[in-house]
Amino acid sequence: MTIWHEMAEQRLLQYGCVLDNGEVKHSSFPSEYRKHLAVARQSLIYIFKNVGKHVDGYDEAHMEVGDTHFSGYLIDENRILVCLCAAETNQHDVRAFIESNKQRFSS
Amino acid sequence: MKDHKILFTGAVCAGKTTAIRSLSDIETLDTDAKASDVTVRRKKNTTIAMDYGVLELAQDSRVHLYGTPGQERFSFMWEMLANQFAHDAIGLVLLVDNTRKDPFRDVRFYVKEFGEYIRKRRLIIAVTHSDIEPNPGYNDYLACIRELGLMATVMFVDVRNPKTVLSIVEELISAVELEINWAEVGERILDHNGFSLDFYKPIYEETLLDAAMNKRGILGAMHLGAEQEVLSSNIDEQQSVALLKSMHKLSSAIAQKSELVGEVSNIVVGGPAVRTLSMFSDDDQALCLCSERDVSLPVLKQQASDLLQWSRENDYLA
Repeated sequence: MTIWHEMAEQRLLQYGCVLDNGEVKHSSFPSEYRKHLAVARQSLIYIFKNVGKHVDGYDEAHMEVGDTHFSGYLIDENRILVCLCAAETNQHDVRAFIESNKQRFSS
Repeated sequence: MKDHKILFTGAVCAGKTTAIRSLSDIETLDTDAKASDVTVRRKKNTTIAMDYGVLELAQDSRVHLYGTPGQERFSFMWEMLANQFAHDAIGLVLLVDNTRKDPFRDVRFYVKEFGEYIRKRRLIIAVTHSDIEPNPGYNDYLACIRELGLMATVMFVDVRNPKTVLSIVEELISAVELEINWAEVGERILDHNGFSLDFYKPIYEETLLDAAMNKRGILGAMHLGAEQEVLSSNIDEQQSVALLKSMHKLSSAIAQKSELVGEVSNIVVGGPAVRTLSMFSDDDQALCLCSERDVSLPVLKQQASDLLQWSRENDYLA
């Protein structure tokens, strides 16, 4: 079972991917969601770039675009976990999952 | 004596207090206080604890009517009502104001808040203010409850009219009380309580910023206009202001390409040891908030939605 299946099973996301220096790696986004992924990727890169420019300590971002909810988590300074999730997803649970599975996102 | 109970809930100004006043045979207990947040745009007083009334159905049967306060910051009372006073209620009536920008957001919010409660009893979604705003309509609400996987009845009501509010009670009680003369009860409460006329009158208003600061967990706010200009702000940290403005700029950029996936309604950034910064855009304005970390995303969104709702021109209320 992949980490994406595991997270989907726990209702933490629908689709996910890791951005490594802005490039899409390890994605579970299906092709019909490529526009969503493109928007999420560009937006989250922009947000974290501005976060880095202005303030410290911010490592998660959430966006509601149309009917879609995106979340982004900084795994480390080069990598962002992108999640497409349901509106009611408990983000504390997502964060807890990431904390205890950080190593798996880098493999 | 058979005692039944019904719990009314819904957002501020949805009509909970008016509905209970329309029905009650006794002088209702209402715990109104001068409204100190954005609800003053529409009403002078807001319920802070609960509404309570009693409706006599027959000599040996009556209904106790409980109403929750609408504002989220008094939500501790929701739990108390659901778990204590009205734990054995026959049904929950969710009053939904059809003039809200997104009434379905309210439905989703309250269905989630009362999720466990709803699972054990009937739910009626009673849509109010449809004389002012007829859309969304009946079928739209049916689609919404289908999407949420709910078993619920949808009714459009004018809570100022005792007879239409009584139809909600009849819907809930008639299955267990077969001998009630509903027409007679309707005539009696109409004679007794009359038709309320002061439901929509706005009394006075206050700034969006002051209203924001009265919300639970909000530490600062900034109101941006259509050109991303600062209309008002009490957020002092310039770095936070710059970040919030960049978030608004991003939402405007995406709006220009909205055919991609839709428009941005909010962006929120946070971290384990920092205050949450959020930006909520709404047509030609945006509300930026700085809040405590423990305010959950759904609550933050509901608070911002309430605030932005009444910062728009509401000519029909004048």
